[in-house]
Amino acid sequence: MRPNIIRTSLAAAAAAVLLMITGCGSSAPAAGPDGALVIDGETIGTAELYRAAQDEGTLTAYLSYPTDVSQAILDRFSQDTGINVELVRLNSSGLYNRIIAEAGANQLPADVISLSEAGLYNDLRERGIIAAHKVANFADLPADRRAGDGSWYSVINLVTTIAYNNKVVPADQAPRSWADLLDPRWVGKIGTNHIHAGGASYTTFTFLKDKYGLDYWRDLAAQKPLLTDGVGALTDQLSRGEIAVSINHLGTVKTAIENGQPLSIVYPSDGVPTSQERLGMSATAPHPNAAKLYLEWTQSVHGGNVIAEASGEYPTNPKAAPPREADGRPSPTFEQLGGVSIPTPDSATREEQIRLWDTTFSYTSPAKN
Amino acid sequence: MSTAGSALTMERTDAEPSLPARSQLFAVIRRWWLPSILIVVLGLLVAYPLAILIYASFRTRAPAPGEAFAGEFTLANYAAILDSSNLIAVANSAMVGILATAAAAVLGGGLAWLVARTDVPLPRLVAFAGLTPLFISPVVAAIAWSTLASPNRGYLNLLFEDLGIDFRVDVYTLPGVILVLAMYYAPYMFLYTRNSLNLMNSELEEAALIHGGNRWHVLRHVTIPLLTPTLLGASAITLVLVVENFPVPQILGANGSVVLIPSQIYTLMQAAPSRPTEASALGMVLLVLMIALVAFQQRAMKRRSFVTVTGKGARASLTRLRGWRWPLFAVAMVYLLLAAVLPFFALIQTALRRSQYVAGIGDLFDAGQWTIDRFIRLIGNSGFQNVLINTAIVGLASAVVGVGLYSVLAYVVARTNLPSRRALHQLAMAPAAVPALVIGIAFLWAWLILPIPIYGTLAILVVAYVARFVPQGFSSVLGNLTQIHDDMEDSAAMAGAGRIRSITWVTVPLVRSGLVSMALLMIVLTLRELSTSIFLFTSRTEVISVRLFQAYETADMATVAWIALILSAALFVLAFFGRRALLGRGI
Repeated sequence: MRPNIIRTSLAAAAAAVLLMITGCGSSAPAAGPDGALVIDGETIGTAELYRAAQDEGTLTAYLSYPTDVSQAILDRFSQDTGINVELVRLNSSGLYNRIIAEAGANQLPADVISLSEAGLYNDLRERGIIAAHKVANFADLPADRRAGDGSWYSVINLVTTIAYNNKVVPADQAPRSWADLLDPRWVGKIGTNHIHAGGASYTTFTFLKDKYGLDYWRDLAAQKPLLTDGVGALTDQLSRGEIAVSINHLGTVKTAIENGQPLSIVYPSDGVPTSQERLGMSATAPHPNAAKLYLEWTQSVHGGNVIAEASGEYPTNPKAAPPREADGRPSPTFEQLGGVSIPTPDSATREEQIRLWDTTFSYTSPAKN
Repeated sequence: MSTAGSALTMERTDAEPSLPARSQLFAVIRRWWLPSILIVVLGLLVAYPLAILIYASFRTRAPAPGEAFAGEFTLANYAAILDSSNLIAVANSAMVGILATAAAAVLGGGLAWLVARTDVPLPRLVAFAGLTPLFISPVVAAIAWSTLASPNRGYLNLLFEDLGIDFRVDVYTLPGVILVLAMYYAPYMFLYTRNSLNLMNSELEEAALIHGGNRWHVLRHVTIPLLTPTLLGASAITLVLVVENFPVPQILGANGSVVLIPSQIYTLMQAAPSRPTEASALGMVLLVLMIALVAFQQRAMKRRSFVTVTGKGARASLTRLRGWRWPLFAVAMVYLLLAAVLPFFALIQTALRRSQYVAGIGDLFDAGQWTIDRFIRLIGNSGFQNVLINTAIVGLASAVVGVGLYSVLAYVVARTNLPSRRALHQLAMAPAAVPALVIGIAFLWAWLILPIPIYGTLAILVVAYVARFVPQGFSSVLGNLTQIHDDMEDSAAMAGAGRIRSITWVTVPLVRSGLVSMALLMIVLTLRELSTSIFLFTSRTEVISVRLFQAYETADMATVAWIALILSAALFVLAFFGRRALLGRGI
């Protein structure tokens, strides 16, 4: 054996690992003349908050939004402020279960928490896991994009649209509205998440029923749609052409288009369902100032611009620039979309709707009886 | 019987002669110290999380850290099993489990027999065919087969269309799921059976041939009955693995056509809010089944002696296949094609293609559509580099700790008459019956509330894996030990070696290849394990299976495919370096 070589290479490997783990938080953070965090002329954090956050040095985010985009947004925050970021990403229910378990053992390391399911988020609030914090530009935010006491802020206006594979469907034959999806030529060619797949699918199906009645569900079920349990699988099937058309989450489709998939987006002429990606600060945040700074950052115009650019979705700050299409063309503004916000149902209504959906779509699931 | 060696005597006799009190105390300690340690270890690893599960199945709310006795007693979770969707899941699972295991047993056992006992051409290649699918994670296989055999644009269907053949396959069905499960669990049967065959003395088979039996007669009336304990044990384990597998029915059955217990449990756990108490109750169904299987297996083994390794000089003779040589070889190659070649072809395509849309078969070979951008992005990502390091550490640690624990356990159960052997055996087999998903949650609760600070570190993953694979590791070593007669070890002891030395110099060399292949199997299993780790990881302790799963949720199929390929490459490297241990002597 040659222990020296082994020891040296192990040490080198360990050093490399350490370097990688500690990451590179060495970019120059923005700062105004008095030490406040100012970006593009906008004061995002007071000097006091900024300094305190930098002293804490790390932000741990528990997010349910897709990993790549979440990481990209957090990395921009890190570049802007010099604060290291750590991301724990699971889907909404997985994240919710994790948070409950860890909080119960007083081992919740999250500074900020974000879930796309309003009901779950409210439950966390009721358990005292979320703390309230009013950001500096609180008064400028629309009332339906934040809680009155600052216990949640919307980060993204989640939007569901129609997407189709443009190699399978020529542009002039693409559906233009939700009503178009019921055309017999789409039998066996539509894909959608089932209602159990998460908050956005519940919102979408509620929107469709509210708009066109229960008959819409029945007619859609008669189209024999492919049902998937996540936007990932759904978008993959669409990209491959296994399905021609899908009821899909805007951000995921835009990411897929950027990755080279032959997809096109249709903003339906009869309106779109929207829901909020809710963000809040943890009551037991180990780095409370970093958490507050992050909230201020996401609610600023600059933060909104970053989020729109990274996700392709609609930011909540009305002054932030709207997203663009994958080819750079401007997207319709949020007002032009005809967005319909679906209120959070109470759990009894929600379960009843889910049971009704299961029956209509002949879907076997363990819905509560 | 002569009383050479006091250790031998003390462990062999049950009736204690009248001794002074101090000697009696020492006698008790000597008998009980090892079982006590094992009971405590297994208790922490197995009984404690199981207890939480059983308790939770009778409560309205699951015990969580900080609210251990929340909710009330209820039987509603069990009543819910009679709901139609649960009954459908149970019935489907039973059918799929039995059919898939039977197919896996025929396939894996058949290939093992071909390799170990016949003159099939290129036995190394046939063994390769029997083992290779083991190194393909079921998640990866499901994704690959979804690409190959989806009803509209699966590659196989595109091929049929281009060739003008009016035949289509659809993997999103019950038969599709059964075939995929059978293909990827056959290697377990192959491994267990092949090990057994290698250790088996062929004298009995030769005697049957001499007395006029033909080779099929010998196979049916001598070989298979002798293999019965292994076949039963391996089938039982395989059946439970098949029934509890959730990625395959989850990915291939998402459109509701295939509802099995694991996807049902997963749905309950993933519900918002989660319904773990109902999931625990459903998990208990599988637990009861496993206990029944183990009891059955133990009773079957009690009746006769299956000892065939007797230290009298064994040489396996090969059955001549004559006209069947090449046809059977072809069967093995078709299996290799379906289980490994085609799926990897699909994965490489998915990884390389920029656009996942394939117009026709010719498109698959159009190099202009290929790019390795996503691979470069992936390996340059420091987070992914972390993932690889974590995976290596966890895999190695689990294998080392696992081999130690399982060997000691198996030896105590098989070779001694120390007290509580039966309890240890049942306890060791118990985790196999509980779906990994539910074990994952139980571990999360169990270790969060204990004052040992291992939550959030790699250590808890190691502990979880060692606990999760107790049944596989334990029964693997047990199966090997059972076939080796006590005589040889006892001869060594009688000749003056102490018990430890007899084990080291006699038994261990005989089971060594079994131990090494079990250690490699442990590494393989931990690399592929997802359900347990999905609830226990943090951003710093992600392993590759978790990263694969995360990537699958993002619709970035090319990156998913690259991760899958990297994982499979790691497993193949393991297989290559462990080939002697896995393929054994005589090949």
